Amino acid sequence: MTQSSSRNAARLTGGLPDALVFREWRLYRWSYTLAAVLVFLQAGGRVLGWWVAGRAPEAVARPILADQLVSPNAIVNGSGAVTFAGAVAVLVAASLMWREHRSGALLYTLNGPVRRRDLLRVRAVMGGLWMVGAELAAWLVLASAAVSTGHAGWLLPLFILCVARALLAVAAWVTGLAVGSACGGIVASVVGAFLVLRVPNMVASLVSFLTSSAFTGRPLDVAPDRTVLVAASVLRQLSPLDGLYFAGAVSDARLSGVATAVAFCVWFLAWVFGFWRLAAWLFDRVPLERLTETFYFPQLWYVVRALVSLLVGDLVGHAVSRMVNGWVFLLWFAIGFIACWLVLRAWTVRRARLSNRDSRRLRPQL
Amino acid sequence: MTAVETVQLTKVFEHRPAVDHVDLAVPEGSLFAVVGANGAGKSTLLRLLVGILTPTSGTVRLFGQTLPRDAADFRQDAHYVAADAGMLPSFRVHEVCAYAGRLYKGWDRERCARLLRAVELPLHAPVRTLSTGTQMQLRLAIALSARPRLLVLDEPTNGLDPIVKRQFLQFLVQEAAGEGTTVVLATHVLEDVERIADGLAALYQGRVLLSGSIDELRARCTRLQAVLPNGLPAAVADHPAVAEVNRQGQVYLLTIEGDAAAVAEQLRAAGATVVEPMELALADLFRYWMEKEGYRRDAVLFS
Repeated sequence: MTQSSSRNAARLTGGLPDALVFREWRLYRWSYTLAAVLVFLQAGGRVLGWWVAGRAPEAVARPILADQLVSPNAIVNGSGAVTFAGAVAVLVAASLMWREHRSGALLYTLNGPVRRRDLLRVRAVMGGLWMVGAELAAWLVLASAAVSTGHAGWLLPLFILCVARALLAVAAWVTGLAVGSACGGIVASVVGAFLVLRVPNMVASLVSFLTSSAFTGRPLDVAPDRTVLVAASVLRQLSPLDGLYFAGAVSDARLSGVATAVAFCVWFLAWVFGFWRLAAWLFDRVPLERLTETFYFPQLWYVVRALVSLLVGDLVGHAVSRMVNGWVFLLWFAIGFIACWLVLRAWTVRRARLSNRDSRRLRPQL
Repeated sequence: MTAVETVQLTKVFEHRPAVDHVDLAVPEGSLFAVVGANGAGKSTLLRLLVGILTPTSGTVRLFGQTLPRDAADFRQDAHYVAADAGMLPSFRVHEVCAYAGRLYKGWDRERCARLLRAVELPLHAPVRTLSTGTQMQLRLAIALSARPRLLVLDEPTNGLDPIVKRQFLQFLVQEAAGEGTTVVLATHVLEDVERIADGLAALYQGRVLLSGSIDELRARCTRLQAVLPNGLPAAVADHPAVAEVNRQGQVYLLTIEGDAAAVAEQLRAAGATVVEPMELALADLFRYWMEKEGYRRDAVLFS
């Protein structure tokens, strides 16, 4: 028993806790595998399919197929290329957190000698490794195809591209974990995770709107300030769902150069680190008694209220102002926002009062 | 040495206290029961004891050490078992054991195998296919194989058939008496408590109504049966130690809280032909204390 104790202690102190890795793999191996396969297929699937089917291309068609399937440009410009991988990552991460508490596995695990941070660390690392593995596998397939079609020069750009895609997928994965650490409901988790990932796009849209001719009163035939347009464009690419265009260092002339690659890495590594810290902070503070609630932290209802009010304000503003004048829009937006906020507030206060009354009535029976 | 000690322990859920300034002391190696009506705060108290829930105020000390906010390490020595504490539903029985074996420092593999054989658990069955009672047996087998110093059990006999329940209670007594493990269990079944527990705490609306060793609690309240052909004199009925009087013809049943000998003397002086002390069952004692606090289930249901 002494030997067993020391062995277990060593396992617990060194690296990832052995028990949690075993548990994670046994519980969610199919989810990890599915996510990795989807991410892999998105980049390397078409090439793999082309090979597996044994359709060796004719010498004439080979360069065209290579250009369409294997070239870095084809990967970057492939429709929804990054959005798909990021979406898969965030969806699986957020749903794992939800499944975890719904099945009772989370409660059981946390009742034992398990640190929440370790549990989350195992998930973040395993998910990250699978994403990176999937992208590396995709690179192997793409690299083989590139070499076989006489494009050995594409190997490095393809590798950089796959690393960039892996970083984006990991960023999306960690974002999913962070949102899943705050939301108990699957809808709230998934919608919340996508909303967080779209924040850069929303800010970009806001910048575009605030500098639009409707809002500023600028004549329609006068072109908007180029700096603003570039800023809005860059902002859009700060989301892991759209970030690959930022990584144009590979071959895209729009954003090339070492500086861009470094900026890309710094930004998305900061994203991963920041959301990892947020996830750990939130997960450490989840009150176990709220595991069945839509949001683990009741304060998040304020965020929901604000988002719904923003949406209603936007609808009212657009409907009434018809975007002829930005200030009229703002006025109606504010009216719609405040009215919706007050209605939602009254509704939640009433619900809370009813709930308190019911519990007071039930109290003598307890 | 005290295994578990709580000082003014309080847990508030959404402005309502579930555990309200609880002071408890459980001696090491004892079998201590926490009893109370539904919603009295038993489960919350037990979760607080092992640091699964964080107290709103107050402290918990396990084996002399104050429980920190992150009490994961403490749960190597304090194992919590409850029917509603989740499971790993997609695991097979042997996989749950493999997981526990990797998790607990004091894991005793041979003991686990022996216990699984004793309760005839199918090793390759997925946990989700097991009945509630069988899942509870698995939890208990794991808890006992982890060889904790403190075993905290929430309604452990729920869903167990009488034979397995008896077997399990024997295990508990062996653990406490033979292995020196401190056992704290929450239960509704007072007969079990009476049979196996050394001490008890009764909770009502999050507060401790009474606590102490079973013998101490019994000594605090006794029952006298007296045959009084001339009726019960007012002097006896109004005696400060007489808490409750039930009458059936000439036979009076008096619940005494305090000096029973003095009341018996008065009864004899009042012409009682028979005065004999009766042992108050724990269930009666519990009912008496609960009613004293205003808990009358029938009154709530039928008034």
